[in-house]
Amino acid sequence: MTQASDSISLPPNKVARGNPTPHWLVEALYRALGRVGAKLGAAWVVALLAAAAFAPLLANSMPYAVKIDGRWSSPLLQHLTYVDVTLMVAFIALMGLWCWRSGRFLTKLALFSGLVTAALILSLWFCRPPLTVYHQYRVLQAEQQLQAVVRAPIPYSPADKLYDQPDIIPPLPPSTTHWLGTDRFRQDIASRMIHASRLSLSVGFIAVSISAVIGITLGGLMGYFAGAMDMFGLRLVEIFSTIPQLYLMLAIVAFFGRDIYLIMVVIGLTSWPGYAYFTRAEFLRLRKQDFVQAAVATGTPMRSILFRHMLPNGMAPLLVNATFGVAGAILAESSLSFLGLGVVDQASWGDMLNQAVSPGGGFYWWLATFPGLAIFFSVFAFNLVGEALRDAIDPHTQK
Amino acid sequence: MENRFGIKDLVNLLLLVMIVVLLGLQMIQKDRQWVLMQQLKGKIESQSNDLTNIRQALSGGVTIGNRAGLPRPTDTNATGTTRPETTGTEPATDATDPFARLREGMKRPDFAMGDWCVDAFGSEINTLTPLISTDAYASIVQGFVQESLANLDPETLAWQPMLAVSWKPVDHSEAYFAWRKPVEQKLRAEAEADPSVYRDVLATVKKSFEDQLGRAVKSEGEEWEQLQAAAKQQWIDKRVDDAPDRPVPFQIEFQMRPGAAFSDGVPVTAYDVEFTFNLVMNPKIAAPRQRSAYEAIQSVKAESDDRVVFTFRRPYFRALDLAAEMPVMPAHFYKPVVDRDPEQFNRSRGLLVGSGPYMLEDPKGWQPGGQVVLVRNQRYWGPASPLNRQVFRLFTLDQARQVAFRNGELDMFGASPEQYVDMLKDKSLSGRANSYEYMTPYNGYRFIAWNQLGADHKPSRFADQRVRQALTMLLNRPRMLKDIMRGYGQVCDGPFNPLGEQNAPEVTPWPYDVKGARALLKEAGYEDRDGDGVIEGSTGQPFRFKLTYPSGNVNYQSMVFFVKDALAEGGIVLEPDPLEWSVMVDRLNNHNFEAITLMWTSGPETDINQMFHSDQIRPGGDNFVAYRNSRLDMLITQARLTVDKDKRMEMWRECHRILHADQPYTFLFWGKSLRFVDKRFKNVRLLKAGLTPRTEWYAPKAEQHWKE
Amino acid sequence: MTSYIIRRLLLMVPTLVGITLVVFFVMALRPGGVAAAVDQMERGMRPEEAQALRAYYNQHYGLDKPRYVQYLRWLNNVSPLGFHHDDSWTLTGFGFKKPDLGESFLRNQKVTSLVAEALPVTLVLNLITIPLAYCISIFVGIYAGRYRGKWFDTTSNVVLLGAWSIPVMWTGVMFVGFFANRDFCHWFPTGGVHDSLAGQMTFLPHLFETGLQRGWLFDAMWHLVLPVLCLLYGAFAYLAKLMRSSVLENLTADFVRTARAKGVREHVILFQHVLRNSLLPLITVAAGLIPSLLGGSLIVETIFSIHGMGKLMIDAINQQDNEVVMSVTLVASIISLASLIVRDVCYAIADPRVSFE
Repeated sequence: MTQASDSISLPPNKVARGNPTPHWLVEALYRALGRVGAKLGAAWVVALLAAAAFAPLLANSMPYAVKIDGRWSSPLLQHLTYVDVTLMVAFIALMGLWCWRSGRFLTKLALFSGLVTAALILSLWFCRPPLTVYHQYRVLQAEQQLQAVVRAPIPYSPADKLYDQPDIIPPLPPSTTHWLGTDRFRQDIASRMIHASRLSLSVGFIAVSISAVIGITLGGLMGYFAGAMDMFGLRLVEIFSTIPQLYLMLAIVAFFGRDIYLIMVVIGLTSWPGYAYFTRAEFLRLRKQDFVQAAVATGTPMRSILFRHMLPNGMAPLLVNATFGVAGAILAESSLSFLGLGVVDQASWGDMLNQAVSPGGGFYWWLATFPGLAIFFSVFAFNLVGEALRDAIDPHTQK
Repeated sequence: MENRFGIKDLVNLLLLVMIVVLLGLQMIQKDRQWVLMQQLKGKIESQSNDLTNIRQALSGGVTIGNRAGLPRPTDTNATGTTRPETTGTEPATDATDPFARLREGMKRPDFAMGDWCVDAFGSEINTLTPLISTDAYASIVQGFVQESLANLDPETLAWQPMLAVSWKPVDHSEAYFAWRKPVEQKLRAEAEADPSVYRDVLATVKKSFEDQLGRAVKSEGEEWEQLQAAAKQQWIDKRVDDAPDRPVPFQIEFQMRPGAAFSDGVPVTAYDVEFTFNLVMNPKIAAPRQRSAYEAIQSVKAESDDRVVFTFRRPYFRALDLAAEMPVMPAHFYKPVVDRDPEQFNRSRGLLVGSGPYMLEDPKGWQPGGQVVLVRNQRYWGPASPLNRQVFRLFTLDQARQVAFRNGELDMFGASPEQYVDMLKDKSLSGRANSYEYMTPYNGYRFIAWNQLGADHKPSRFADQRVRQALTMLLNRPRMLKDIMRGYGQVCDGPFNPLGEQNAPEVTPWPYDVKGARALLKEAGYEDRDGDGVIEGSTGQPFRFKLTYPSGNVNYQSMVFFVKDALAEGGIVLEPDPLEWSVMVDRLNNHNFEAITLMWTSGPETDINQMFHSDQIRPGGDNFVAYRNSRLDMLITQARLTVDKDKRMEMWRECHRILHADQPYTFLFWGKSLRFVDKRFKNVRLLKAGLTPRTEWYAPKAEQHWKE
Repeated sequence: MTSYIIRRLLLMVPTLVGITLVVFFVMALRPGGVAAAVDQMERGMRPEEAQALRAYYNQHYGLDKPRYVQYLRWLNNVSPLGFHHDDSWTLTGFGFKKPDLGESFLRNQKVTSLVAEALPVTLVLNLITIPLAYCISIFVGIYAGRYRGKWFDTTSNVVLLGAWSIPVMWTGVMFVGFFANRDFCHWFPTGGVHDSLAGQMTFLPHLFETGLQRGWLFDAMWHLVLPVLCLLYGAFAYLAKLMRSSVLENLTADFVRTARAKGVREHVILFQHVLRNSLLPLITVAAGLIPSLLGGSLIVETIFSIHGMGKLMIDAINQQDNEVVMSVTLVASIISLASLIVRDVCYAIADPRVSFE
């Protein structure tokens, strides 16, 4: 399903204050629910971000710490890659800066990028993970060579195929050892679900950034210059909004191959028209407004008008659009994976969903239910946040 | 905004109701016609079945006046067909009767003619025309339409007569070898003294090399030497075969079956056999594979209508297979086409006529697109097959095929182990279909091939026999079998089918032994030198390699994942390298890979020349691992020239022992065939070569599913 | 208005050309260009086949020609209006001709005939869905608007946003898994649009001696329940939200106030005055639903193995059947372009105030 959030614009919830109804209680409840919905959505997004950042700590075959021959060591830390470390640092920095209320935005941004870059360089230097044998410590434990062991909450890596447990015929339904069951390759679903959030979120955010950059640039140009440029741009918008997104994505993936970066770019390339249309409309509206006219009258250069005055004013609605866009991108990535054309060898919700109906026609409900719920919640959460944002900035709501 | 129900609305409403009622009445009327038509069709079908029975009884040798051979004129309004009365008029069933099982089935009380069998194809058939078709599905269809002189009885794996009633081999191989030895030596000396004598051969060989490689070959180096040796051998073989004084080494005489006819009514004669061979050998016909397969046959000569002689160039161990299994094509049908324009034959889509139990409804007009429908050949010389039609429908995707079988649109289903286990659990399915799991001599084995030649044309890590053995010992193959094949198979220890005589029974698979493997690797110079868990060679290069496999196949994928985990125990890093099939074939032809996992099919007697003879270490050759063992080379060559079965089998068994010790491949396992067949089909049994042929199945009247 | 429609139709031409450009260059811009398709398919083919393939591509695109020539040739082939030409591409005339979408070498069939087989299936699926979605959403929308702020409205609002967020593939898999599976409830068939014996069925249910036979019509309906449900809820959620806001807008309009003042009963106001006016925006978006439904039906067709356009696309991708991938994308785009045009024209007719851009 193409979530054409641009064309399918959900109508705003109008709460007319001037019209007192006997059901004010219900109305208040609704407004609260609206807020609660948005909060729940935001909470889910933050939880997802945390899961993505701390995935290796939450689900890993390597124990946090083991004691062998009286010596403690941490296999998990040894096996962390530079990506893992950088993501964790980035998440902590993001949360820290979010809570720090007083700082200026630019300072925060500089601090954030500095921290992340430092973490990346350091981890590239220090992280040298050795050969991973997932069952290594389980076997040692079974042989009673470990004097003590502290395991991760989900003691399975996403690619751990339980080599040491020959009697398992996959897929396993949920049980006490595998909370959400395993997939066809004996990989733990809970672990894969957590690690898949990385893929979904990274595809979501990067694809949206790409489409926003393309869309805003084109829309800005159209809105600012109008005339022939506008005409041309509108055709381009029409072309890309006409070709069904999923078909175009599939065609590109079919011809260029399957690769995570390509998939991000493809989703970005096929979903920019909404931003362009929006930016254009916003610019056309702003052009007529006094402060722009004033800027033109005082002889402020074009560039300055565009970037200093018009763009910041048009940002708010775009943020709404981008929030819906992330939901759309997550859905698009899952659809691709579900159709078997997603990223190879990486945990993905869509791919797990694809395995739910076995080649023999059996149905593994746990492979459909949990990843499906994850996709649904994520999409729903972003949509809730998006709608709340829109309501917040919609002038009709405030009237 | 008028809201009253007025006269106008009433009229409109009435009109609408009338239209709906009329439409309904029209549909009911159509349905009544439909039902009537179905009844008529059923009657026509039963009558045509009666006709078949009569014809069959007649061909069985009914003497006029003996009414016992004719079917009883049963009540004609019933749609049931009569069971042909076979007693008294049919020849006694004996061991050589190819239809013994069918006749047995015909005697059962629930036997009935009619119904279809619907099977699925996994890819579109390009052409059904024999010789030029290449895919396996086309050959399945041809198997129903064409017949050969003799075939292997699926029950005993012994030859049984089909279009020939008997045959007689004439063996002069000893005289031939006595003549050949000095001649060959002389020619070899000649070639070594003056390489220019085989210049022409060299040019053609070089061209074929370059075509395979897609690049030019330099006139020096290892490749060039291989090429030269191959050319030299070819030249010698050709001179030997062409020598005017060469004694005839081997001949087979076939006596043709009287009374056999093609589906258009023209009798099958020895001249058709001769025509078929000449057609294959016609260079204008696009049948290079068959031509090279029949290269050992010098000539096929029809001595009279019912006698044909096959003469061979040299003693060849598969001589009888070649001659007996050649499908006989009708000269009167194909000759005009080929004579007019061979290209027209090469481009044809559906020129298929034979003497088999089924035929195409239109022998010339078949076009690709969806399905193949074969109808019963009413003029068949043997007893008529019970099923009216054999239908093959196209399902390009496995899942669609599976859904179709589940919905009853398909009568047969070949399952993967995972599907099989899953479908066995299905109660509704087990009520409808029988499941069969079996090993046949035709099943294939999976292996991992270790390329002994690195990218730099120097021996790779895998050139060391100890390394290959250690890699095999790191794999717990019984468990792998259970994991990946769900236990439907057998651990493999060599290229010969365990059901055949080529297999040396005393050879047992290498055990799963991680410690032993580690020790062997250490002995070969691989151990963990820097403490990162990965073993390194003496140069400090970590033992890390890519295992290539065809992408998009879950089965291969889970196998590679398994191997990865298994090798990690030995400190070896495996990088899965999934490749799309066409790219992989390309790499294979260029020997551009480190290790690869694939599957070979086999047969009752497997020729391992193409996989393991060092002659085949050339671009496009199937010895893509560059394995070389001179004793094995000699044994293979000898075995191929030995007609005596017992001596030959001993040589193959020796080959098996050598291959087991050398482990050029890690042989993984033989897979069983897993199949579901609709329960309504009777006379379906497991034989040595698989299920009884579909020509012998029947469906009892009450359970028949498909009508016209 | 007429001039608006004419301008709209004229503007369709550059868009159409743009679509063909995008579709063609998606294929032609990959490494190796159009010839990559030949190289890719040629492997494993017999020389004669490979030669035929090469000849075909050369004839259709001109393998040694620059990309724009390849594009123009392809465009001429797929267009119903274009130049007639002979084998060596000497142009012999201009006029209407049969569009040629190329040939599927893997299936040995004309792509045109493949698409002609698949397209009606997809269209039927969507054409069943849209009216159904309308029926329900109008009802829900009116009630939500009428009882604005009450429990029905608030719940329906969250539920609709939720329904709109449920991925189609999830519902599809859950339906197949729970309602068409032996392990749970086998109430519906696993896939396809017909039973294998539908060809031997009467059209209406029929009582034979052997028992009641459900007939062709009910068989088809029984097969289509789950796929249509999957397509339904997304469109429904969207339409119901639209309906609600439209009803709200009209309820505060002047004419409603006047009617109320005149003492017209509330339900008459709602169903006579408001409903008519609120339906307008809903009807105009009908055609606009098609593009998003096309995407949805791709997934639904894959899950329920219905041989429509989406299934054709997925099969072609899995088999690397390039011409089919390209043509299906093109046809799907043209359909959605046509539906967008219909939407705009409807809009112009419905609301004469609409001005051009």
